[in-house]
Parts: sequence; structure tokens; C-alpha cells
Amino acid sequence: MTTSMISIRGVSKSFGDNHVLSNLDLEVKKGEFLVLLGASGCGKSTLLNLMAGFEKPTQGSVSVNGKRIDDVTSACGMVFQQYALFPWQTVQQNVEFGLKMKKMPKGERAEIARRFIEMVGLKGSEDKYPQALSGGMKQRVSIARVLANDPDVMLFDEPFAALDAMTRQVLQDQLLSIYEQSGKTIVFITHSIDEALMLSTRMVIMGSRPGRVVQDLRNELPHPRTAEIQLSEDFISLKRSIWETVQEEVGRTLAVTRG
Amino acid sequence: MPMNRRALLRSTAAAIVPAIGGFPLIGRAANRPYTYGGSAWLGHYSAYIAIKTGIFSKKGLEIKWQSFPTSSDRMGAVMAGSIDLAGTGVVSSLALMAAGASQFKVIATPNNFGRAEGLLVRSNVSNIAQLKGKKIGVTFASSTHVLVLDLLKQAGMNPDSDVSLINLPAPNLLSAYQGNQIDAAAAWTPSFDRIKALPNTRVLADDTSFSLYKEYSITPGPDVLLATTKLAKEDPAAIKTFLQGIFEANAMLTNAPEEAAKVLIEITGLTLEEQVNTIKQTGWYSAEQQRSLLVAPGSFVTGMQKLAEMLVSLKQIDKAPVVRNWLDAGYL
Amino acid sequence: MAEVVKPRKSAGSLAWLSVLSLLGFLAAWELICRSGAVDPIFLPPPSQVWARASTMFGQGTLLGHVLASTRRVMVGFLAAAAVAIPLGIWLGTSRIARAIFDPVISFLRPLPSMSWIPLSLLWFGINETQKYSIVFMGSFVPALLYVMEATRSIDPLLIRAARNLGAQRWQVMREVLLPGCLPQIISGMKIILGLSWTCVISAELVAAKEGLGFMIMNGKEFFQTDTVVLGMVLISFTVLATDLVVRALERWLLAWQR
Repeated sequence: MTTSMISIRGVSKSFGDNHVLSNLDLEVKKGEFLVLLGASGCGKSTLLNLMAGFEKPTQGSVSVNGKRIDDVTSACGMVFQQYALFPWQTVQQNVEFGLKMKKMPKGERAEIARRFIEMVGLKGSEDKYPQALSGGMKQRVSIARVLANDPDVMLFDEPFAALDAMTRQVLQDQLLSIYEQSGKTIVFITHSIDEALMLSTRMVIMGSRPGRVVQDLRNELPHPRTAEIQLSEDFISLKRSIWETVQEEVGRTLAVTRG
Repeated sequence: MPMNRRALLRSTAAAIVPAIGGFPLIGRAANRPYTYGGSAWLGHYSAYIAIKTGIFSKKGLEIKWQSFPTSSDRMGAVMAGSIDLAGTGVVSSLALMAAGASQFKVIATPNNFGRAEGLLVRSNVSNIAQLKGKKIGVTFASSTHVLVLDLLKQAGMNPDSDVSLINLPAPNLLSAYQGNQIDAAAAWTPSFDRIKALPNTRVLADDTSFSLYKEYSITPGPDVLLATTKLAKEDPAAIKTFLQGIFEANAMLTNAPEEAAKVLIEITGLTLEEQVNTIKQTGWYSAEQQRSLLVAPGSFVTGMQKLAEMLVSLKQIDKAPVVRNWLDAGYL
Repeated sequence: MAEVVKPRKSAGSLAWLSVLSLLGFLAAWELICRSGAVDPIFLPPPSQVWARASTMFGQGTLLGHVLASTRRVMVGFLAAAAVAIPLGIWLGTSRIARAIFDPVISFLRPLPSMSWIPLSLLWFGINETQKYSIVFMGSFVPALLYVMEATRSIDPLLIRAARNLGAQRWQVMREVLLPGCLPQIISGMKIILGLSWTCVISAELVAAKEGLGFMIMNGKEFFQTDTVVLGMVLISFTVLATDLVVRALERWLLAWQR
């Protein structure tokens, strides 16, 4: 209980008649890289929004680092699929944003920001505007921006889905290295089983209607994880074990919608 | 039988002519109502009385009244042809003459006033030099504007730098003066009477102090009656009838001021006493007087010409028109 | 990924056409007047308008009129913008604030600036403040409504991101809404500036002794139609000049868009 970073207890969430989550329990340990997998509509994004405080549970409680979440908090930094960078600010200014909100003095926050910009591999691009950046670069700025704010938890809502395969791989590598360096607790949503296997230390497969935990398993693949791991036996057997569950859930969702 | 045929032709013509008369091409629209543009200023008293007491209708002339707050609005309507007859202060008509307008003719001058407009000040002001650096409210391009400019010139003061002349339409002068936003107000009746009636207020100067008045008996904005050139072409008889009615009304104003006052207070809003005073202190010309004023020796015309020259020197108009060219005394 | 791009006619090459069209229009206007088809009282030819301009410029009065009106517009407009922008951002984001202010705004909105003249004369007297107040009252509510509308143009995700990074309510307004809605706000303000000019003209009809509105009204009183037309031309030019300044300002403020 004391090493739990995120505590989801008996959480239900409904939007009118739409019962998205039903009586969900989930504990995320400090330093875990949790990947949420599941078909669309299973409530993954809703769960993430509850952790970030963008939504309030209809029932139950959400706590992060021992504190109950009932409003937007910077304890859980979110990286969005659409980047959400401020177009009127440079890379440097974007990354400094959270620190500026904390009223940190100019010199100090510039220093911190520069460090994280370098960490995501964008040294030299500090004065560029988001308009001049590629999708992958924008997402890296987004990650740096959240990192610079030093949150307890980092949340990722399908962050690489809009990027091409090569960029995605580069960013996955980079994210892993950041994870290994910083030891942050991460909750990551994806549709891709391969991505889940590459990044996670734990995977939770969610079912839909209502959203609940269907399968919860550890990912013991060794670190550091390189691209070759995808060819290993362990990888393939792990993949097989979740594949069926995922396919079953997908089938169920399709049947419900077709029916 | 030629006699019978002639009679037949005559009666046929008598039947056809009115029918053709309705035809726009020939345009002899007998007795369509004509519009007179006026306001609550005493220059229009004659027309108003003649309309309201039925003087015109008894003569078979139908005149409609239309109110315009300023002379320039009225003159604009004359230019556009939306009214046929009007009374106006001379400044607007001189400005139009200077611009070469040909749409109207001056047909008469109905009255002579000297005390119905002037410069009103607080009781402690005894001469115009004391207004140096102060705000004077006046309706620009009006007779009172000319009066103020003339008074300042007589006192050797510069209207642009020695005082602050503020343009205010007549209805605003009273509230501006009461609210102490201006130190002096140049107004004409009925605003003139309203302001005069306020406490701590006196008349510093009226038209009798006007420089041309002393020489030519002409006020800064004497009233004239106009007719459009279109009306003069189409129905000159109507203009003659109109003027007859005007002078009848003038006779009433001279001989029975109380009766006239009762009719006029509808439009001026003055008290009966104030109204009678205003009527009594104005000279209402008769048709006979018109001839000596407008034709021979034509002192009014001379006065108007001098006024035109003064407006040029006061930089109100660009050049002085030859006033006589717009005068048509043929309807008297 | 090389594209074959057809060379486009550069934008500058059509300016000559606009100049030619303008000259043609002026020539036609002059000829129509000279032919005698139109009484100069109703429409003076451009040559007469120019002559009037030279006279007034020589007398030193022309520049005074232009500057007086410009000053009144600028002060009134900037005051209106300075209040409308922060207030509009706040109202755009707060349902409660909107509910409180809506009745007043709805009441004020349809009132034309001219209707404020009598009250403004009573409250401020006859001075420049009264003129500024007319411009302000005519521009303020429309500006406010534009800003409120502009706040809806921001991507709500940006607000979410800002709050996620720790921004408080007021910080979101200042750090995200203001810069984020700035493009919409500026385009709205350009329209309001035109509105401010119409207010100044109506303000100068009463209790003024200089300004372009006064000049037009005075010209009308004396049937100097050339003065009236000159006043209109000057208003047009001055507004265009102000517009150029605003565009330059816009380019500088929104450099990030390029």
C-alpha cells in the first residue's frame, strides 16, 4: 500500500446513460511502466483522465501519491496524442511553462528546460516555433515539457499513434531511456500490442461495456530493451498470451456493435 | 350654326381640359397640396397662423406644414424638391446662392425682429471683453453665429483664439447653459426666452447691437420666404395666393396678438405672456412695405448684399453672390 | 517528394491595374461634373475638392481636423480595447460571470453611440473627455462581444494541457487564452476600429469645433459640398493609414504564425 503511487478504488464513471467504467480497482506501484491495452470505448482514456483529475469518478476514489484527486493536478503530467504545444511559444518557452506557473525565476527555469530539451534530443531547437517542427519533434517537446515539471506520474494517451513507424520506434527508444534514467511512474495507453510489450513493465488489458480489468500481467522482458527483442522467444510467447484476450475483447465489442 | 358650334367647342374644351390637366405631361395639377417647411422660430409665425386659422384654405390653397430643426435641413429639402415653400434665415440661403444654387427664389421678407435673439450671459458679465477665455455655446451657421462673430469683431477679439465657440444645436443650449458647461449662450426664440428666464442671467447684446442693424436695419439672419423655381414655373398663381395669405396673417399678428399667440404656443411652447411679447416686439410687414423693401429703394436687398459681404469677411462663405439675382418680387 | 510548381504571377503585378482603375474613376467623375450634368452643389468635381483641400491646408486648419479626430478615435478605441480584452476573456471562460453580466450587455448593445451624447454632455461637460466617452460607449460592447467569441476559438486541449502543467485559473487566462486568442481578437479589433471612426463622426456633430465630423457637418450647414466630400475622403485615407499601422503591429505580435 505504501509503495502504491496510484490507487484506483471501486471507481465507476458514467456519462449520463453511458457507463464507461464499473467498479474498477487498480493499484500502480511507484516506478512501474503500466500499459493499458484494450478496444476503443473500454474506458482507457477515461481512466487516464480520472488520474489527471480532468474527470471526477461517479463512485469510488482516485489517489496519487497518497493524495485524493478531485481536481486537475500537475502531479500527473499528461502527454497528449495531438501534442498540445502552445503555438505562440518557442520550444524553450513551452518546456518552461510548468515552471513559470510555479513562479520559478527566469534563469533557473531556463536552465532546467535546456536540460530536458537536450534529454529528448532537441538541443539546438530551443528557439524554434512548433509550426516548424515535425510530428516526432513536437511530441518530444511535449514529453520534455511534462518532464521539466517533475510530476509524480507521467500519463501518455496514445502519444505515438499519429506518427510514422520509424519515428515511433525512435521515440519509443527515447522514452525507454528517459524512463530508465528518471524512474518515473508511467501509465501509457496504446492500441499496439507490440508497443505495449516493448515499453511496459506491466500490462493491463481492459474490457469494455462496462470498462473493467480483464487481464493484468507483468512484463519481465529484460532491460535495456532494443529492437531485437521483438524477435526473441519470450517476446513472442508473452505476445501470444495476451493476443487471445485482446482478440476476444475486440470480437465482443464488434458483436455488440453489430448486434 | 357657328355660334352653337363655338359653344359646343368651348364646352367640349371645358370638359377635356380638366381631364388633360390630370395628365402629368401637361402638369397643371390644380390645387395639389404644397408643403411649407418651417420651425418654431418666429420667422414662420406668419405661415403657421395662415395655415392653422384657415386663411390659406379659404383662398382655395392647401398648404401642409413640415417642421425642420435647422435652416440647412430645410434648405436641403428645398434643393431636393421635397418642399415647395419655406421660410429661412438668410445665412443658409446666402450660402446656397454663393454655391450657385438655382432651385429657389426669394419672394418676400415677412418680418423685422430685433430683440428675439441675442447673447445671454451670467449677471456679473457687463461687456463682451469679459468673455475672454470662456466658452460660448452657439448654433453654427445660424444668425446667432453671425451675431456673435460680429460682436467679437466689434470688440476687437479673435473668435478662434480669444474665446471658445462651441457648436450646439438649439435644444442643447439650454441644458448646456444650465449645467454650467458653457459660460454664455447665443440663442434665438424660444430657446432665447427659456435661457433668459433663468436666474442670474442677462442679455448682454441682441440684434440691435449688430453692426449692420445700426446702418441698414438688417439683423444678422433676417427671415425670407422662398419658393422653388419649379413651383414658380408650374403654379405662379399659388405663390401669389400664398403671399396674400401671409400678409393677412401678418395683419392678425399686428392687430390681434393675443389671438395669434393662442395658436402659436402650440408650436413654440412659450407661455401666453412670453408669446404675446415676442409677437409685439416684432414688426410684421404688410404687402405695401414689401415693395419699398424689395424693389424701390430696396433697402432690404442692399442690407442682404452687405450681409453677404460680411459673411465673406467672417470667412463663412467663399464669395458674395449678387443677391438681386435671386429675388423675384413679382408675386406681391 | 518533389512537386512541380507552376510559376504564379507575383502579387505586385496587379497593383498597376488598381491605380489605373482609380485614375479612371477620378477622370470619369471630373468629366461628368464638367459636362454640367450634375449641379456642383450636389456633387463637386475632384478638382474642386482638391482646391478646397489646398485652401484649408494653407490656412492650417486641415491638419488640425485630421489630428483631432484621429486622437479622439485612438483614445476611445484603446480605452475600449483595454477594458474589453481582459473582461471579454474572463466572461468567455466563466459561465457565472456571463450570467451576471449578460443583462447589462444585452441592454447596452443595441444603443447607438449617438444616443449617449446627451448623457455624456451632462456627465462630462463640453470637453475632450466627452468625445472620448462617445467613442468608448460605441466601441466597448461590440469589442467585448468579439473578444468573448474569440475565446471560443482556442483549442480546449491547450487549456487542458496548461492546467495539467499547473496553471491556475487566472494564469490560464493570461498565459493561454490571451496569446492563443490573439489572432481572433486582433481581427475583431480591426473591425471595431472602423466602428470607432463612425462614433467619432457622430460625436463631433455636437459640441465640437474641430475634427473631420465637425468639418463635414459645418460644410453641410454652409452647403460647401466640396468640404463635405473632402471630409469623407480624409476619413477614408486616415482609416486606411491606421489600418496599415495595425497590420504591421499584427505581423509583429503574431510572428509565431509565420
